[in-house]
Amino acid sequence: MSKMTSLERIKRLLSVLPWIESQNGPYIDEVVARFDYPKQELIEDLENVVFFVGVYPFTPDCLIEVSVSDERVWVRYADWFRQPMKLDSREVALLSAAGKAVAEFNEILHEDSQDELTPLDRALAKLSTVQEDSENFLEIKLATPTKWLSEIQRAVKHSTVLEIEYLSTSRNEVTVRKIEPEKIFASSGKWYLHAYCQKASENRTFRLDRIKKIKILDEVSKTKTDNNQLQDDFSDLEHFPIVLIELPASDKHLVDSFPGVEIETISKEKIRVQCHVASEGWLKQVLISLGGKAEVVKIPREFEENIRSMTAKEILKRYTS
Amino acid sequence: MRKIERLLNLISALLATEKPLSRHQIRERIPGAYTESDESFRRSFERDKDELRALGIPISLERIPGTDPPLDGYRILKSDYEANHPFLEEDEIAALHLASNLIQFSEEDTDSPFYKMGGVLQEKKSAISEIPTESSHQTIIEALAEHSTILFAYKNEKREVDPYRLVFSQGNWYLIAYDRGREDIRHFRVDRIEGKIEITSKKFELSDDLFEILQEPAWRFGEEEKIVKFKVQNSHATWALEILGDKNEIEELSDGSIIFTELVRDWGKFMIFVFSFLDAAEVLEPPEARAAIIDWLEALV
Repeated sequence: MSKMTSLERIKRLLSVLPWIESQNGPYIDEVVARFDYPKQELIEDLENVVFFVGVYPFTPDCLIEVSVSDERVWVRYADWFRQPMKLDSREVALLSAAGKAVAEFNEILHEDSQDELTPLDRALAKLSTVQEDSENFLEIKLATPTKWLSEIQRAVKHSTVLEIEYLSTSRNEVTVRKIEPEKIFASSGKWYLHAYCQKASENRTFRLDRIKKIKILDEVSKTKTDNNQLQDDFSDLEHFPIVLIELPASDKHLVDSFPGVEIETISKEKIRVQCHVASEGWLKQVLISLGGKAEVVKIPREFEENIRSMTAKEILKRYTS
Repeated sequence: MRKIERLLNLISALLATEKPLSRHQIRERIPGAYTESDESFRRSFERDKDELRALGIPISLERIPGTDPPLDGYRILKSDYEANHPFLEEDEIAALHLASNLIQFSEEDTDSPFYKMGGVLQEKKSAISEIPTESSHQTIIEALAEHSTILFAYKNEKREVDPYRLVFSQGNWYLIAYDRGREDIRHFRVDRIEGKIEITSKKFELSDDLFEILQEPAWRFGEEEKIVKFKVQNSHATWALEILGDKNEIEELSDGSIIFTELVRDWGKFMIFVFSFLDAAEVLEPPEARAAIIDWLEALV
């Protein structure tokens, strides 16, 4: 960890001191671990800073007493530091929002589980008492819940092979394929599934809301999950080809939420957008949605050079025929 | 005296005092902290005070009782400063910590609340979702907490709104609020709010049917009003039904395709939705909406 600034140390100490005081001589290593406080700095701050902190008139009875011995630490007489600082409304709101999003996620995954309150439910209930309504200020819609989520999660866990009917936008048709699910993740409000597709004989990313039907097969995945490859949920995006588009700067909001997007300001009026293309269908939707003001700089080799005009023509056919 | 020592002593003095302390009393009560001339003392004290407030330490400015002429002083009220959250068990803190790791807010010190709760002995988990946050959210959260009406500019117009909820959805933050000028609920893209958000002294009551309002797709909120009929072909019909719900008027054709009727208040968002079907959907009515789609597409051919 990099060195903390004086202000960071102060803020941290305002939590550390009440905690140490409430314990009976905790081990320094535990303080270090709980508060991510580098050990050398913690000992230095306790022995050479806090030791000199007190209130007027700074006679020994008005100073905080700190003693460190045998790897343990005691803090006494810090009456005015008995309590840590209040959780502020922003902290409560963000914690509740994250907690609720995860609780909802868990609920989808374990719909058959007990009625008992989980530790997370209990924590959220307690947080909701800190400030009226605070748990409702913020909401994180992780992704639209999808009906297959729990089945697929189970298949991931048990390496079960699935047969899915998948709406492939690239060909605009429903295809049936056997897949070996590896990992579920959420991005920009959608659920995705990494899986080995037996039909394509390679790894593919599927959108859960495009799965029309699912059949759980009595078959176990043969391919082993390459854990290194899946460590970071979003890193695999880098394996996808890149499209380059130039847009009016005022349209930046249209691309902000693309997974793994890189936006470069070229001039006051123009931005250059670089993003990874996970599927042809997605690329088509993006190119059409961005409209004529967007300038396509580079289309990945995997796709037709004139994919935008071809797609526009295909859609126009519906309107003109 | 080192800065960290000076500031900790300043916090101690302000927390321990019963009565507000004037600047000069503070200087006397922390010997060795501010040894410079009066003018530079004033400046360093102001800076210290600002820095502590930025850390979230609630330093209040109050009239010192019994002073004549009246004099203002500073203190930290225990009721503003001290934690008042219920005691959380270790397993509850650990569950919250895991949740806050899984949903990662960027630009946000997500560790700080856990330090206040006594720290966590737990490895960090990698996020399943990353949520961007900005400083303007702070003002909105404050207004949400106090049920205060706020003012801001949006689409070149001054808006006076009652903030109901801040929602992160599909990669963007939205403020769902009652627009007093338009006398209706509106969704505002937070990143498109122009300039500063101003908190007014007006207060409001929360509406009861909030939950239902929050579930609707984004194009149902906006400034326009257009009744749009569009057809989705058989292969994509289930998908469309799932998004739109079946509470609206729908018409099923013999080939399995469905004609939906939607009240569209944000045409731009709706058009993106229609294009997500590529050539499996077609806008039928009104004629100008159909023409807009055709124009849009022809520009791309």
